Amino acid sequence: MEVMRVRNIAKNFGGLSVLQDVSFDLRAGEKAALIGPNGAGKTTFLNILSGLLKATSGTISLLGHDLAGLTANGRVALGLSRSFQISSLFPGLSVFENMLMALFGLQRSRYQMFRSFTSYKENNARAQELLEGADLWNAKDAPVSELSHGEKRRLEIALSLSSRPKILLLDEPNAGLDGAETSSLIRIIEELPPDTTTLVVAHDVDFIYRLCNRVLVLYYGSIIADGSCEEIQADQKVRSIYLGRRTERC
Amino acid sequence: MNARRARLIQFAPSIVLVALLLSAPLWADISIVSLLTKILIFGTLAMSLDMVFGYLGLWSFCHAALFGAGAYVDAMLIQHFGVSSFWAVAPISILAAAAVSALFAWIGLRMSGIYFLLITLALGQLVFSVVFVGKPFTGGSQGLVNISYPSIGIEFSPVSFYYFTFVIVLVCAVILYLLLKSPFGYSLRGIRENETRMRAMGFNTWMHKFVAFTISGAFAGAAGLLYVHYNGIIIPSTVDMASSGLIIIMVLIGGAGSLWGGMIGSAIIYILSYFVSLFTPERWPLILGACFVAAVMFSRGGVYPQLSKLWRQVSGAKSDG
Repeated sequence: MEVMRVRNIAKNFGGLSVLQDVSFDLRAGEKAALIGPNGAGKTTFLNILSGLLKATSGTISLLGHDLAGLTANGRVALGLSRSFQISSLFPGLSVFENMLMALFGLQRSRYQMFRSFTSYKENNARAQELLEGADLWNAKDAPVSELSHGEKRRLEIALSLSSRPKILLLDEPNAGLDGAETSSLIRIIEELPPDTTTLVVAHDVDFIYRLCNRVLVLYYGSIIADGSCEEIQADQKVRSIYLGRRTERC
Repeated sequence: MNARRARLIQFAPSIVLVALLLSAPLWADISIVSLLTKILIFGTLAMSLDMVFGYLGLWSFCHAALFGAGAYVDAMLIQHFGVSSFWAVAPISILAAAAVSALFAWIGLRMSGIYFLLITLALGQLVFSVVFVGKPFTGGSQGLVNISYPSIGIEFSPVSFYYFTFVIVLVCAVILYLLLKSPFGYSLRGIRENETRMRAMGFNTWMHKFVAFTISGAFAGAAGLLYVHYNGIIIPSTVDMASSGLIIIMVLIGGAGSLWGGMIGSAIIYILSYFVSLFTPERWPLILGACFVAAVMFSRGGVYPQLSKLWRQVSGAKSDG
C-alpha cells in the first residue's frame, strides 16, 4: 500500500535551485534511506515533507491526502512525524516533561488551562513506556541540558514516536553516535510497528545498509538512483560520486 | 523531613508575605497602604506581561495600552454611559481589553522577534493617539477624572479598597499560576524554547500565541480597571510607550518567566520610587536606570529567581516553580 507519493518537487531559494523534479513513492512499512553528499538538499527535502518549508512546485500526498497548504502541525495529525539533524529538544525542561510535551501535541487537552501538566495518567504511562523504550527512564528527572549526546539523540527519536506516526522522517539520527549507541538506535527503529514507514536521511552507509531495504540517492537536488542496497552498490554513477569503493556489507 | 513539612518550608516566604500584606493597615500609615495598592495593581500588570514575555518569549511593547483599554472603558462606562455597578463595568472592561489584545495579536503575530516588538510598539502608540483624538469620550489630554471607588454596595475607604484590590489580585495570580502549570502553560514554554519542534509535534503555535496574548491582555485590562478606581483619574500618559517600557523593566528586574517576578519588580520599582521621591524626586529616572543596570549586571534572570535560589539553599527546600 502506498503511503506517500512525491511528484516533481522543486525548491528554489532566490536564484539557487536546491531541488529539481524529485519524485518517488513510499509503501507502508518500507524502510527507505535518502543519501547524498553534503549540500545535496536532503534536509531541505525533509523540511518540505514535514511542512516547515514550502516547495516551489510539485505535489506531495500522504495516505491519499494532498499536503499542499497543510501546515506542519496538520501533517503531524495526518500521521507524519520527524526528528531533526541537530537535537531539537526543550533544554529548560526535564526529560519526562519533554516527553509529556510531545504527547500533548495531538491531544485536545493541549488547550487545557486549569489542570496540571503532569496529572494525566494515560500520558504519564505512555511517556514512561516511550522513555523505557529509549533507555531513558532512569534519567526522567534530569534536565535535558545534562544529557549526553547519545541520550539526546534517543530522546529526539522518542519524541518523534509519541504521535504513533504512520510515516517517520529521521534526519541524520545517528550523527555523532558511537557503535553501541547506533546499535541501540537501530533496535528502537526496528521495534516500530511493521506498518510504520521510515525515511532516513544519513551519511553513514553502514548504518543505512543495516537498517533500510531501499535507498534513494540525491545529488545536487535530483534523485539519481533508487533501488535496493545491492542495486545502489552496483550503480556506477553512485559509486563514483558517493560510495567511492565497493563494500562487503549488504 | 516529611513532605508536608518540606512543603511548608517551601512556601514559608509566601505565607509570611501574604500575612504582612494582610496586616499592612495595622502597622503602616495610609500612604504605605496606598503604595501597596499600587504595587499590587502594577504587579498584576507585570505578571500579565510576563505570561507572554517571560513564558512565551514575545517582546510586547503595548501592555500599557491594554492596561489603558481596561481603564478607559471602565471610566467611559461610568462617566458617559451611567453604568455604575462594578460587576457590570468590570467584565465589559476586561473583555474590551481582551478584544484589543486579540486584535493586536492577530496583526502582530504575522511577525516575530524584534519586528513583533516594533509592531506592538506602534499599536500601543496608536491607542495613545486614539486617546488624544477621542476627546469627547476619553477627555483628550485632560483624561477622565473623578472616578470614584468601585460601586459594589459598600462604602470604600483606602484601606477597604486595598483589601478589595488584594482579593482581586490574588484571584488573578492564582488563575495565572494554574494556567502556567497546565498543558497550555507548558506549551508556551515549549514555543519559547523551540517553536519549530512544537510545530513538528503537532502544536498550532500561532493559535497558542494568539490565545496567550489575548488572555494576557484580559489580565492587563483587569489591572487597568483597578487602577482607574485607585487613582480616580486616567490620562493619556498612562498608556504611552514609556509606561510599557516601565512594565518591561519591572519584569526584567523581578525575573522574566517566573510569574511572581513581575510582582517583585513592581514592588522594587514603586518602593524605590516612593523613598527616592521623598528626598530627590528629580533624580528618579537616573536612579531607575542605575537599578536596571545593576539588576542586569548582578542579578541575571532577575531578583525573584535569585531570592528563590537563596531560600532553597538556606532552607533545603525544593523549587516552588
